[in-house]
Amino acid sequence: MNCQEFRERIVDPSSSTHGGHAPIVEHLQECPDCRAQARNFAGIERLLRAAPDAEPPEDFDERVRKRMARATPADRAFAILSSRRVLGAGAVVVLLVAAGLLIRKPPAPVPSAAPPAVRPTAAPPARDARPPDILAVRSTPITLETTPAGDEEEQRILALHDLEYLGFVETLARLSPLFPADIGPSPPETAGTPAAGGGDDAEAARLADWRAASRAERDRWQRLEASYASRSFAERRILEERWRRVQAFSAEEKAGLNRLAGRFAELDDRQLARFESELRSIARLVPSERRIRWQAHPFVRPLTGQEIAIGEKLLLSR
Amino acid sequence: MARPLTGTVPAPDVGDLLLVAAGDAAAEKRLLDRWRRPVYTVLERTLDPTPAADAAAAVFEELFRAAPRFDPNASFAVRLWSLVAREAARPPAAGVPTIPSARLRESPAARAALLRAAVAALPPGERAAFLLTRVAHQPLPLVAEALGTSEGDLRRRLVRAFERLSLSLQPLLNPDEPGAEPEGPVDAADDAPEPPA
Repeated sequence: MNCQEFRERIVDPSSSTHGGHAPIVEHLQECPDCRAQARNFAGIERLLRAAPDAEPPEDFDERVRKRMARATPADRAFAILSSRRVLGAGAVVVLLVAAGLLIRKPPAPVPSAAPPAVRPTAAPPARDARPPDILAVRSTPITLETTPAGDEEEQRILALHDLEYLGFVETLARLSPLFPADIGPSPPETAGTPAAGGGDDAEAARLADWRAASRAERDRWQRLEASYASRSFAERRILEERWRRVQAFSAEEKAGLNRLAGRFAELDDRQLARFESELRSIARLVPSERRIRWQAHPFVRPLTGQEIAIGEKLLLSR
Repeated sequence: MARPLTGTVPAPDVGDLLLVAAGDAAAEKRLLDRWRRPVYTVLERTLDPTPAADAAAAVFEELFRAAPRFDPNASFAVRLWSLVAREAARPPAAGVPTIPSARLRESPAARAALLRAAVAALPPGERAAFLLTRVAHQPLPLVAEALGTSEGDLRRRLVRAFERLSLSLQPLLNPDEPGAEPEGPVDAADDAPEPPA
């Protein structure tokens, strides 16, 4: 892997779904420039995350309406050209030209010496092939600031849960009303389970993640793990069950889940309690009714299409 | 065992855009309610509030005006973000101002101003790619389609954008390092392809 390939992988958050970490870590160990750049890239992501969403001005809709009311030059030109008088004049000109052409003698055809050249058809633009699916890069910072972990530390790292899962726990907890309340029997351990351990590959990936993480990222990981560990056993099982439902969602759908959880967070306690109770009633309906009631709910109407779609997907999968 | 996740993905935005084409003011309002904030947030990352509001309004104006020509089978998100990309890429790249490190340490507003100036200083094609993936959080395939380019080209644009930002944001990324304060304005070479109009 060269530097350009390495950098193209770390700017693509979705590459976390592909294979192992070894080539990334290997390149980081070999290349101090890329190590520094990976730290910088992660720092830029942090700066962006720290900036809150901006609120458009209150008269925003009015601005749009004013712009819509203002006719564009193209609109004006179309209006002029489509007026009856201009159309009439145009028709007269066309008739005169046509009559002139009819009374003129057509020139004799000149035999062509050579067949017309065939224009070669342009090949479709080649799309850049994706790099082989053998790498995985997290969107989190990657550095090798510290020495490799010892045995004891390694055991502690392996006891951590998957970072992506831990980062999603708050979202899963907040979206409770969209998931079934009952959790059923404990499912068997499967690939990608957020639980600690999970086979040699999962352990190697977790160690590689840890080694590649910056100090701040490791602190965050440990904070999330501590917060998760403070939840009851039953809560943790519910959250893991929810994660199994959403783990395979696309990056766009996961972004929608986070956005939707953010919308839930904007409600005060009273509004949230009422909304939760209404959602549980909706969830008892047949799927077609659920969709209609979800889309018509006053909380849902102002949401983005992405947020509405992901909420509906969860409701319908109950 | 998790149940299979099935069902059709609804397209309320597409439906509303078709209603807008039919002159439905309520559908127009619903689209504005859903999208005004995400669109404005992206444009506000490089523009002052008033120009950002004007640019966002221009996005919706174009979206609504062209609604009668919208293909119901096309992606609403691609259409919307391609319009946002066009507005985001409109201003030419400018230099990044030099802000004293002491001021950066003390003032969140100064830090925000440097970040905004640094993103605004990216060449238009890189700026649009950066904003759509990092601020609008849209996935790469969708952004590539919105920008009319391949995913490979999009990744290269993003790498160049991050590399430029790494230079211009040194005072924020490594505030304690000597030389973190830029010696002068950092100009971006305008060598990236433009997004489609």
